[in-house]
Amino acid sequence: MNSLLARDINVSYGQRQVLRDVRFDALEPGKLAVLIGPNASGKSTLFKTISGLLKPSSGLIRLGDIDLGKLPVKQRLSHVCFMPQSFSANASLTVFDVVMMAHKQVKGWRVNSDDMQSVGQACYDAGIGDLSEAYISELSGGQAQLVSVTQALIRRADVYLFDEPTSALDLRHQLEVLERIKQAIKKRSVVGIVALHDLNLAARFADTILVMQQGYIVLQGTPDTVIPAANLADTYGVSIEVSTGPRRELSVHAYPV
Amino acid sequence: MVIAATTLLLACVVFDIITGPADLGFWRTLTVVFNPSVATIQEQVIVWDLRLPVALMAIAVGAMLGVAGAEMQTILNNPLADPFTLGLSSAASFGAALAIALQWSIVPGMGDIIVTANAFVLAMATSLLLFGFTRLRGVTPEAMILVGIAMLFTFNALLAFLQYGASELELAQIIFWQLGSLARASWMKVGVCVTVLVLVMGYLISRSWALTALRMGEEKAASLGVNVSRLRLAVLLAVSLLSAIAVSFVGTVAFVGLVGPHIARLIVGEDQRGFLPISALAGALIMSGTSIASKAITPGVIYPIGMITSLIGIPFFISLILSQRKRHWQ
Repeated sequence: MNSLLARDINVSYGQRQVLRDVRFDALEPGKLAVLIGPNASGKSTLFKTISGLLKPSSGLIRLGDIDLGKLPVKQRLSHVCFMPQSFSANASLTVFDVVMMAHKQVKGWRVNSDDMQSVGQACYDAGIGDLSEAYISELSGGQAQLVSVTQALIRRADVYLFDEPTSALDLRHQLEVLERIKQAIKKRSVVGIVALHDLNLAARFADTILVMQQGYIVLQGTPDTVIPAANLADTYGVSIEVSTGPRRELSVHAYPV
Repeated sequence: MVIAATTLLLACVVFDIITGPADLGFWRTLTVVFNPSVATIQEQVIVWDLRLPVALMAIAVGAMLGVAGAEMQTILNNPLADPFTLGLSSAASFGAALAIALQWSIVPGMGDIIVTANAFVLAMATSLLLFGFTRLRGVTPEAMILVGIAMLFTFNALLAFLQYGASELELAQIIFWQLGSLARASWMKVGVCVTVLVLVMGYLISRSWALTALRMGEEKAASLGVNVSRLRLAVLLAVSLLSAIAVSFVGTVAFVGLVGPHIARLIVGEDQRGFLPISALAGALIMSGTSIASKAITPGVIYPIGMITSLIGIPFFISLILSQRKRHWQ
């Protein structure tokens, strides 16, 4: 399986440059990378660029030997599965419908019994089996997020990008979802990047942490090396204290300056 | 579901054919349909040249408006979108009025079909204008609806202007055109409608998952591999063609394009594999029912359908909204 790396990616929205010379070293398959950084630092833009929904003005994104920039969008999306931060939930579609849609990769018309079974299984595994007949417009924010994660995980890809998959979830579901993502990445031996705001979750689940600030990736490394770095305080504009718990887990405490 | 609706539709068609000013009776009419050779010339004309084209036209136009409304609502992400609210119907009315009041043809050399041709050209031009708007950067689907409503008012104002200057006879003709009538049906028109409907439906069915995905938001659809802007343009063009043809053939028919899809949404949800056919069937049923009602209210008189669509559709629609909805994956 292939690793993912980026070199000198630049992306602008009109006059405003959002990604500046973004580069990260090879992210290994089977390992979970966590992308952290303040709001508007470019995390979502980076995901859209990797998945091919945005065209960079320059730069290189490589998956193993494949130059992703050279692939047409359709083909690229068979390598990269991107879960956007939110979806519009005012449609009269059931949870089962929308997971099926992701499973079918919006192709074809027919649904056979294998399709039905894999979608049913995926919903069950994700703990949303009892919701599968519910309309997405009736879901809570957290339930919608579980559906979104299920939609992503039912697809087969070499790279999975999750944009804040836990922002609306309660504590138990945050841990469950991240654990499920981490296990899936490991089992399928694929590249996974999750954007998170919670530094404690990042420290706990990440094999690698990438730190974004104002369109740059300013740090890349293991939680042990990245989280204690004084730079984080600067990145978020807060003062940060890091302590190591009895099971060697890092916990982060932030205070306003 | 689809089978039940189709059966109901067939019943409507049969009923539509047997009702009319000349009382032929149920069996006699069916005999003429299936075995024209035994009928008198007069009966043949009534059934084959008058009633059958009207009955089939009602279905075709209803289905076209249902499909057009369904996909306009889908691509513009707005439950109020339909050929009427986007200004296509008013544009067609204005085109027809131009021909009636000023004998002014937009495309020269149209002869007898000048009214239909004008209506079609203006309706199509309006949707091309909307189409042009989608190509501008930063134009949201919401803005397109507003542009459509602006069109509606512009053409209504222009129409009023023409009506103000028209003679009494012309005025009556303009108003009659606007009210909508299936009496203009002919086998040729039925053929055009069915051909276009089949082609457009084929395209839409092939993109049904992509259209369903669009309902979850542009970003989500794009992340699933849908080329959102291209899909939106192609579908807009296809449904514009449908609605322009429908309104130019039968005049303004409000309500069907709006309500047909809503009925479908309440019954089967928005998975396009059910939503699209049921929208078409719902539209066809409303129009067919309207056609029957237009003949049945006062025996011997055929009322314009535009007046009746809303009157028979609304009670049904309200009852559907009020009843609890339940559905299952099929």
